[in-house]
Amino acid sequence: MLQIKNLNVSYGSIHAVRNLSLEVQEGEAVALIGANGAGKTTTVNAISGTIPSKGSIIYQGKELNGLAAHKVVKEGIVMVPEGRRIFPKLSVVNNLIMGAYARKTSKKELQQEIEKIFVLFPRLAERRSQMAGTLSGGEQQMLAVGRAMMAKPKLLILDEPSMGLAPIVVKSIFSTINRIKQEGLTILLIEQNATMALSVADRGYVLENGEIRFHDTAKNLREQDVVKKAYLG
Amino acid sequence: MVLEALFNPYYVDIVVFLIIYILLGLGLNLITGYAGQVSLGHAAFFGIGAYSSAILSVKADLNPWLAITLAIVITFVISAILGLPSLRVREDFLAITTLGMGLIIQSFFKNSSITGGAYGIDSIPTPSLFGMKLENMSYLIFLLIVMLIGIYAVRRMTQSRIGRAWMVIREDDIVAQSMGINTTYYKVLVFAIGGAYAGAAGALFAHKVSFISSDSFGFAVSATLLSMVVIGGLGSIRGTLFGVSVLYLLPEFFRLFQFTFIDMNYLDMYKMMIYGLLMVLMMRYRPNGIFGKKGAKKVMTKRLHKKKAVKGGEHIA
Repeated sequence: MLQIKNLNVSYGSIHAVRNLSLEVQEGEAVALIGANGAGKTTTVNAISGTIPSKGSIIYQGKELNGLAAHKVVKEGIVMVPEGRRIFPKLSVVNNLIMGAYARKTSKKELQQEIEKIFVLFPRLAERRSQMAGTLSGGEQQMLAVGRAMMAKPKLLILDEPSMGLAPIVVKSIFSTINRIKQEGLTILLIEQNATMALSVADRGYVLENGEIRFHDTAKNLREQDVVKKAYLG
Repeated sequence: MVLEALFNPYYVDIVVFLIIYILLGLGLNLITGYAGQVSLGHAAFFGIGAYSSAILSVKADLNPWLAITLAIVITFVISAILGLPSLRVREDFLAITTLGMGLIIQSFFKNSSITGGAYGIDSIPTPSLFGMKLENMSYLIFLLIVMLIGIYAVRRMTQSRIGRAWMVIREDDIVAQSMGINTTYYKVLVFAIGGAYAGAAGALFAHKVSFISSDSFGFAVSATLLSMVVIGGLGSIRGTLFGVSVLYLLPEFFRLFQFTFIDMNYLDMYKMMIYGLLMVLMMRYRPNGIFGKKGAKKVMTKRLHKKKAVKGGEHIA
């Protein structure tokens, strides 16, 4: 579904991502893990078109590199940005409505879709008219995922959904991600928390200093200590 | 003619200029209030509208109505171009950039031969309707209609898809992109539309005063407008109406009553002092403006539902 070949991204003289190649098959969940500064978020930003990059990003046979960010969304790749970035001054429901902006839908359909998101995240239903900025970190993450789901993605990219959250909240977020995956959605999961990420993903790529060090099935990665090495050097 | 006699032309003029400022404020509120792009160069759009209409009607001898319409179109296009920097710079930097552009354009007005240089342009014709020249009261009524149309259009725009896109760009423009919003298009569009409002105001101003020079489109106008919009409340039509009216009428009020403790010759300076003081007080006590979000109306309803709010707060932590 998504094939990245020889992706290179530089910030001035800093070469943040080097010759990265990665593949996501339809229906699978792929984890991209690595320590701080490994280039995970840079990779995601390159895919979503918010930063310029070199190399090819082929999605369903179509070249994405060079496409503007808002067009990538229309292709069906939707990102949950790092650090949630919900709209703090809008209510929960309005945040969700904004998620569906790229599609033109009737109010009635929107209402039904919002209810579906509320089934996925019952906590949000209780807070539907509350301003999103007053939600807890975990609830905001749920909202960020819900907002992305409103765009009806074919490929959902989650950038560090565990960031800054309590372990118990991380668990509940990941169980929801697992549920979304069971429903057949293709997921690219960017994580620092390797154990959590590999518990959900089918396959994993380990990123270190902007390069892919290993890739294997999640099961194998869990059993080997290559991941530990990538983190601790 | 009976109408003209009924009203003191001095008061009529005050209201005419007030409406012109309201049009300017509405445009700026779209750019800064709804789409969150700080602009300190709004007077430039005002000037472009005024000069375009003046040049077209005086030098090209066009009908004033045609000149006004064309002036709005011209400002729409030029504002879109001047809005391009907002794609690269934001917030404080955008404020400085727009400030600089405002000064450049004013200096163009002052030095170019097409704008009449320092002499400005005079004997700008008054538009007439059905053979009747629109002066004083009739011009006021015409402006009133324009203002109502302007307010209605802002209302419609901000409640539509376009308005929601602007609002989201204001909140977080990176996320706006990842929601599938073409931020480039909407940012340029808001400058174009906001500029067109200023262009309309400028053209109507030129045909009212019949003489324009670059002094009328300086930084003081941009700064005053921004204070008006901020004090009224960013992203609120009522706020703009209120902010512009209060700040515009306040100095006139002083002029009217001739207080002995102020020297009327320095009224303009006092005006800036009072604006400054008001801005400081606003930022301290009501940073969202009088009618901004959490403004007067919200605060009142909050007080009514205080119990509810406390109850809702329990779960947050």
